[in-house]
Amino acid sequence: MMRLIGTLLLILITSGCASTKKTVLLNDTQSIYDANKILEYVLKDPDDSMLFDLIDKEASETYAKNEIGIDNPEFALNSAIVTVAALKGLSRFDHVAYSHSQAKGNYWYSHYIFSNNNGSYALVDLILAKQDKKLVDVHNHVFRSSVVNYLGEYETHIEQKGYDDALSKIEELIKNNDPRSALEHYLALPEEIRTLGIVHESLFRFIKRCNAEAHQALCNRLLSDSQHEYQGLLRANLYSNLNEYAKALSEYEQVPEAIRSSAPILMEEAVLQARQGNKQEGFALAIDALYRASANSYGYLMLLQVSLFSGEHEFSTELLSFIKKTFEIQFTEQELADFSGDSGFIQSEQYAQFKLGYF
Amino acid sequence: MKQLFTTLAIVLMVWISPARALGERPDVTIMPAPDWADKQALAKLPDTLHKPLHYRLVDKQVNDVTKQTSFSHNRYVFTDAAGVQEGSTVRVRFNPAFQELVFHNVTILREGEAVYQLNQQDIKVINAEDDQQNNMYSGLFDALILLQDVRVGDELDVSYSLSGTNPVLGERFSYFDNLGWGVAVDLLTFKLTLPGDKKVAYKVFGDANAQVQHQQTDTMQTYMVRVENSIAHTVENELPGWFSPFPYIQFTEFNSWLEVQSWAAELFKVNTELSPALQAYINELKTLPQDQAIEQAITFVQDEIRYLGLELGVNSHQPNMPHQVYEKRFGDCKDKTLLLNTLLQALEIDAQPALVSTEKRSHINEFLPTHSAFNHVITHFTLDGQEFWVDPTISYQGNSLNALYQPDYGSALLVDAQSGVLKEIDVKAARHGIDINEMIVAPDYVSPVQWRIESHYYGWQAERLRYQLASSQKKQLQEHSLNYYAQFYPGVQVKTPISFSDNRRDNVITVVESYWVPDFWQSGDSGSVEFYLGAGNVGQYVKLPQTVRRKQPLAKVYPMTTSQRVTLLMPMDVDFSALAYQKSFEDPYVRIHSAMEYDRRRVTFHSQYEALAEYVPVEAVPAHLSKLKQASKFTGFGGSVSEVTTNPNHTIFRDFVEQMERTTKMKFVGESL
Repeated sequence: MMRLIGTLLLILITSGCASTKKTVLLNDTQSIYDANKILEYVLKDPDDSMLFDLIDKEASETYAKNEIGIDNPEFALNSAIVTVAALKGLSRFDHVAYSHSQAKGNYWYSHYIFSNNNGSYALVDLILAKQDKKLVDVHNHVFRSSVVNYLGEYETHIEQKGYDDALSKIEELIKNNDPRSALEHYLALPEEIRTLGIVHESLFRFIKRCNAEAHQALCNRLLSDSQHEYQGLLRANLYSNLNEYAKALSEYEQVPEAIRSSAPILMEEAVLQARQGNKQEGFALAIDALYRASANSYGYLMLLQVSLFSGEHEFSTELLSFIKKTFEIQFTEQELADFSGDSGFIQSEQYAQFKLGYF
Repeated sequence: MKQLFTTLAIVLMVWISPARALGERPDVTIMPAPDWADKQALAKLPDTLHKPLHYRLVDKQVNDVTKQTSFSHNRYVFTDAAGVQEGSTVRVRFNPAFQELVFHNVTILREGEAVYQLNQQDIKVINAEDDQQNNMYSGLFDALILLQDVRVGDELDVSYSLSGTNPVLGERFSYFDNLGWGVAVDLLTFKLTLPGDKKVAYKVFGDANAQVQHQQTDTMQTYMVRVENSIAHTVENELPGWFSPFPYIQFTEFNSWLEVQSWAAELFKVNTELSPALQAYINELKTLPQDQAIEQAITFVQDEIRYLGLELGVNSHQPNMPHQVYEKRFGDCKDKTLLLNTLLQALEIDAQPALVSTEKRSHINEFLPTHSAFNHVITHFTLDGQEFWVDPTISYQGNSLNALYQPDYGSALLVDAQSGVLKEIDVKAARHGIDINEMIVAPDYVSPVQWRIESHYYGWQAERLRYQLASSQKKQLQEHSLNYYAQFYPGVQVKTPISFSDNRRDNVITVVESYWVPDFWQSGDSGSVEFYLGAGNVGQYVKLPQTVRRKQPLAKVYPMTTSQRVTLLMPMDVDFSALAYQKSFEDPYVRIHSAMEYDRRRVTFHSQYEALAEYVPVEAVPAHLSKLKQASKFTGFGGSVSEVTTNPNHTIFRDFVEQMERTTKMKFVGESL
């Protein structure tokens, strides 16, 4: 368990130690509206003491016992630490966009979209206890289950049954870029273990991308073995090959409307359309995303990608000026070259004129 | 008086020979009144007369001693020009296939002198197929007398007889007649004369004070009702179908529902061989698993046999044989029911006809046993212990047995059961209604907003929409929707074409619409803008009826559950949380829930309506309407955002999009899409 937590902490980008100081950041009278604002304040500036003020021993123990089925204070403490670490990891995203909150039983599920300027994103539910509004879990929708549920299942189905080392070995092989051997070890697992969702989720958390030819056999096998609710999101997250990516996007249809029409997903579709030469569709989708991400630089940055790959060089220069003026974001020439890739922007006359005034 | 004739027409059973239906004009004669008809003495005209017509006499006398004949004698005064307009046409509806119409007298009296007497050439006979738009042909005709030179102050005296009954109804006497009308009548009389040995029962509905006098001799018996100064009975709107605003009387010779079952069982006997074509279809069904075969048989009869009621000849009550219906591919309720039952029986399902009344529903048990109580027939069967009530005249139903909408007609008489009792229809609870989810996305306070509407239609609402989809073009439906939304936002434009996805198996249709709305934000005072989130679909069920002060029950659309969630994604976080509320209104008839929530950038208005009963009894109406009135204040949420247009950056997004459209020479926002 501790090894697993250690690994997760690494993945989630962790820092700090547990604090027992109990400054009351969120009190009983606060609504979920205020609680979410405080969460975002912490995400923007993740001070360790404030982070740990978001969790509470009793709330985590109640959650672990009633929702995960594990009545173990040590497990609750560990899972609370991982939850905080996950939040800290999420704070590394370039943009945080709040979507909505939903009450489920004794908990609030606050849905956030975390995204980076490079287009990567995470659709996450931050789970808070209604009582005291304490953070008890983090659920990244790209994966099958929440952090705490994952830990619980791992302990029950992997550690207690003695498959911890076997799974660690496969993870290590993936990390060492040896997917072929990883697949062999995976196939060597007993079928009862291979069919567990927790196994697929563990391995997906280690696989960054599936587009490399060597990884495809492993990815395909894992995807076909798993019955994931958001298979399309998972696939899109794992592939950067355009064809695979388009196929994965088509599976977004199974994803709830709130997620399917969220700005990052719309932007992904917009960029894909632009790269496939469907300029009008790409721009239209980008406008939809801009509508939802109003006043947020993220939307304009994604629109820039659509514009670049659509060959709208003149508009790209106008957009770069707009981003610079409105959001005070200025790119270096190298960054622009990386962004625009093979779009021909850097070689264009419009760029030649534009760069004289931009830099 | 129109109501009087209309009701008469409904009460009279119809039957016509094909030759008549093809256009041969039936004869109407003029003869003296029958000897057995009593002459009623008129009371003196009161000092104050009713307008626009003052009814002095409505007299009905029915004689069933030999051939059933009903004698009608009406007399009224034209007291206003509107009365002249309304009452100057004598119209008598009849079915010449089994009825003979004889006029005895049509006279206009002016100051006591007859200024007009009926002539044969004044009688016009015209076809009266009022229901042909519903594909129902019943063979009815109207005899019309268009009176000339009628003046205010004139008095009209009309008497006529209709003789004959529909032979398919058999020899058993069954009769309904009104004891009150929508107009006041100085003297209303009813008399029934029967042979002395005929045993009938009677029941009066809606008038506890009506006195029925029964006189009996060895050879003759009479039942008489006399109502002096009969009041005008008002007809309020939104009445439940079972409720009659007029008092009426029922006579029946049937002693029990068992006798009615026996009568009906004869009609639904299949007395011919199945045709090879029908047998081949049955063989095809038999190759399928039983559930699937049943579903396919139902869908076939509902969708492939078009509804057409040729209520001609014996077929007013006698169904056509299944092979005829299968081959002609049309039929009415009894034709479709008998065909479906035949198919199901071939699949070893114990299907049988169930007589129902679409109007009286469970109130049918208030009637004395009679075949005249029913106006519809459906199929009943039991499968794995579960009862099914399938209406084969409904088309485009969900095609899975579990999702099939089974109309709740209240009570039914199972024809083959020979049980002697009406059976309560206990249909499986199912979802009927519409759930609407709307999302309005606003990037600022000046650009057109995006409006996405996702509607899920369930149960009978899905079936109604499925029918519309089959009979209309998508473009028409889009136009219809656009016009509807333009009531709220005149500038609304289509963003992406309307789309429909039909899950017929679960009987759910999803409709997705997407619009641009340039006039969502309304300018307010001092640089503010205002918005309104309305739940119009829910609101239509929460509004008060036309007649609020009621003396009659109030019908509800039932079963019905509908909800509407409208979410506005604001350009930025403007805290409306202080205005959040939740309200619930409930009585035994409806449940209404309304809520406004604020969750950063999201203003959500949610409203839900559920009908809990088919109607509200008259004594409960005031409290119910008071509840509705309270709830009607919460069918939408309006808010405003201050200091918007005074912000120098408030057009920055719109300007940016316009610049983008100019530079790229493409249009992304608004009409051109």
